[in-house]
Parts: sequence; structure tokens; C-alpha cells
Amino acid sequence: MMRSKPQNENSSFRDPAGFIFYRDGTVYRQLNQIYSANYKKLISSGLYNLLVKKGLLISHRESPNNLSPDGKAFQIIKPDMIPFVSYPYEWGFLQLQQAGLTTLKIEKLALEHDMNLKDASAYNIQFVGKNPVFIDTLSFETYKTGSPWVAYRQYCQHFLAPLALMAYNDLRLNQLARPFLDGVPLDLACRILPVSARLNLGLSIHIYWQAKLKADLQAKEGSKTSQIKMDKNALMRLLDNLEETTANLKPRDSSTRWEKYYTFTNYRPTSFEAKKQLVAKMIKRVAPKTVWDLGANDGEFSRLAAQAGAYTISFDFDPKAVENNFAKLSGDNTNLILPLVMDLTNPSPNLGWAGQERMSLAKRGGADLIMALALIHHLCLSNNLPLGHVAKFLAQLGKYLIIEFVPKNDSQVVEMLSSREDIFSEYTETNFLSAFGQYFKLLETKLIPGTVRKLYLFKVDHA
Amino acid sequence: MAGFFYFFVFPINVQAYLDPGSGSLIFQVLAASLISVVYMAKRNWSKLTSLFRKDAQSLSQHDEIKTAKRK
Repeated sequence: MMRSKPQNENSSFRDPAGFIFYRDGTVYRQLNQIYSANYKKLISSGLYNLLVKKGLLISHRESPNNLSPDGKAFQIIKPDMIPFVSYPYEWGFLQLQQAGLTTLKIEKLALEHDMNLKDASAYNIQFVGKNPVFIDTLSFETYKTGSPWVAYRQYCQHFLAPLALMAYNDLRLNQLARPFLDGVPLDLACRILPVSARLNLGLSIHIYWQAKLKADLQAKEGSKTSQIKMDKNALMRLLDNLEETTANLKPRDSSTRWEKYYTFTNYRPTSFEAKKQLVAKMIKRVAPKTVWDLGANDGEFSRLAAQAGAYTISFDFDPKAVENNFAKLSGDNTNLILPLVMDLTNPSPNLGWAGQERMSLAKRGGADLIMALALIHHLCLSNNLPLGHVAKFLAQLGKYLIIEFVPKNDSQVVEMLSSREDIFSEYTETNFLSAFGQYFKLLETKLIPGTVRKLYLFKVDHA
Repeated sequence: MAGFFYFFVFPINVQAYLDPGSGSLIFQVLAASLISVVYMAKRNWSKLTSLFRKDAQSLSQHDEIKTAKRK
């Protein structure tokens, strides 16, 4: 029987304990011989079952070893699939905070089972809807009595420092995870954080003092690493403090113009309701399994897609809108919505070693349905994008498209253009239909009652 | 017995590929000590202040119960 060639996952190479690979589109994890004792203990101690039961760790099935790409496997496992891969620079504050607290919770439970996490990277966490899940089954090792936590500094860089920056400075600083793939360096965080952050005991210890004393302690540490001892209770207290410091961080109350968008938009309540019903009908017609809601704000329309049973990614470039969306999800039991921060005019690029460790947005693309509601005027007018460019971009992202065209006589557009020169003679409904007609086939048009806006349902058609 | 030798023969973090960062292992020990000190101080402070919050009546009731139990 001919099996297709296996492909190693580009981001999985640092850990000698094993790596991720693909065969025929299925993801597997190889555990090397060096990991055998730890894996056996992970299972026999009951830690694996406990973490999976609590929804903290991704579950897996053991698979035949002949699937191994190099024949050196101790065990092949097949982890459950994550519906959509996302990265820390795409998460809002609450999501990063939940991811950090999950990591600490797992470390504490691991210690109770005489095990330990050997790293605390934010990339060990993936979101399934609103739930953070630890995906690195290789990260567990036997706790060596008396040893400090090797992942402490990494936790501070990946979670504590960026959360502090978002809370004390600005929510937009989540973007620092893009250039700093191993978390925000602590000395940099020190320079940016305001002096008031030092009044927080946890932050002053784990960020300021750790950064300041680095040079002095580095000299003392030298080759004596194996002799540094730390009592287990002391480690637990350190973890408790990290947990408390992480959980107590809260962004300052700063509203952005997008926050009050739905309160102060120019939709009359009846028009807004009518729009929702029209969109819901179009979604039903497409019956998508996956939806990307672009410029989703606080997810009002994403919820319609989720109610229709689609796993919906709710993108918005305003981190505050993403926060509001995520906060509202506590009352949602479909768990089919994942809010993410994304600037469509500058979406997540390929990052990491050889530009291959973290995938660009386009590489993760292919939703059944794209929604671009109340968006096109922001792209074409605020961002000077020609209609043809927008049409081409959207056609690459999915199979169907629901898009709202906002014409120039719409009151919001009139206000947008009031303080600038109107160079947008090309921005008309006729040109819109002609530009999109290059990439799509028009299925349906509906006027939103009480407005000058129209909804269009398109299907990608490369003929 | 084999496990005992394993601990001494092999370096402490044979599988931890992660570089813990210069100085952060010693720092952790120091940080944990400081946190423990603060934690104990907070606990003792609240124990101390709670003694003064009990009013005189409940204190004497408490003493009565104690003497009753001893009999």
C-alpha cells in the first residue's frame, strides 16, 4: 500500500523529545525514545486523564509506530484537531490572561502528580472557541525534587510582561508578540511600563527585579545550575503569586470610537433588526461549516453564524472590540465563536525561523463563508483601497461572500468624507458590481429597509 | 536503587531544551523567599488584628466555654 510522504511541521523542531508531522492531512506527534519514561509517567500518574477531563489538555489517540517519518519513534500519537490555529499576537487581553492562568493551573496540577512543565510558551496554548487548551503533550517531565521551574522566565516574557503592558500602557501592545516571538524581553518591558506598575508587588518582583538583577546573578549562577535548590512548597507559593499577579491585572478603562459603534451608528433599530434577519437568511442558504466575520466588532453578526452551527472566527482590528466580544461569550453555550485581533490591511504574516514557524492569515484561509458587513467603506475610503484589490483579496479567503455595500450618500460616509477631499469618483455601486464580478458570481441582492445600504451574496467563480 | 544513581549520574535537566535564562534560577529562589516572607507577614498581621477585633463580651464567653470544657 503506497502511503504519501510525511511532512514535518515547520514550527516543531526545538524539542529533542519529539515533533509534529502530517500524513495525508492528518496531524501526528512523534514521541522519541528519550521521552518514553516521562510519557509513561504522564499516563500512569493519572495526570493525563485529569487534565483532559478538566478540558485543559488536548486529548490524543495512540497510533501505530510504522507511521513514523524516521523510524525512531517510541510512540506515535494522534492529537485532536484544533479548528483554527491562532497566535498570541492575535489574542485580546482576556484571552492571553486565560492562556497564562491555564498554563499555571496545569503546572500546579502537574506538581501534585510529581511532574512539571518544561516550558511555558504561549504557543503551547490554542483556543477552541473561548476555551484555552494546552496542546504540547511533550512538555511534561518528572519533577526533580528541589529544582526550580526552568520555564519561569519564559512565563514572565510570554504572559506576565505583555499583560502588564496591555493593562498599564495600551491594549495595542499585544502586537509586540509579533517581533518578539519568545515573549517581550523583561528589560524592554521595564522601559515601557509606567512607574506606577512598580507599586504592584508581583510585577516589581517578576519583571523589574528579575530584569535588574540579571547581570549580577548570571555571574554567580555560572556552572552551578544543578546545585540550585528550591523547596517544593516555595515553588508552589511562587506559582500562587504568579497566578494572583496575572489574574489581578486589568486594562484601564479606555473607550475607543469603535466601542460605541453599534450604539451610535446610523441604523434605526428596525433597520438593524431587518439586517440581522436578512443576513441570517443568507447564512442559512449557504449552510457553512466555517465562517470568517471580517470587521466583526463585538460579534453581533458572528452570533448569527454560530447559531446556524458554523465555527466562526470573529476578526476585528480594534482590541477593545475583541475584548467586548470575548467577554460576552461567557453567556454563550455554542462555543463556536473565536474572536481575534486582525488588521485586514496588514494581516498576520509568516514569522519565525525561515519565515515558516507561524503561518500567515492567508495560509490558514479557506472558510466556507466570508462576511464583510459595514466594512467596505472603511477599506476603500479610509484606507484608499481600490475596489478591485478588495474583491481579489476577499476571493482568496473563502467560497461564499456576504458583503454590504455602503454608498456615498450614506450618512456615515458623508461624515467620513466631510473633512477630506473626495477623490473617490470610482466608488459607486456599478463599479463595485463590476469589480466583484471579476471574481464572483452574484446570487442575491437585498436592500436593508430604511437605509441606502445593500447586502450581496456572492459565490467565488474563477471563470 | 537504580533511580538513586540516575539522579546523581545525569545532569539535572537532561530533557529541558529550554534555556531558563541567565540568573533566573537563582532569582527564582530569592523571589520565592521574598514572597514567603510577605505571605507570612500578611498572615501574622491579620491574626494580630483579628485579636483586637473581638469585643470583650465574646471574649469572656469564650473563656467560660473553655473552663466548662476542662471540668
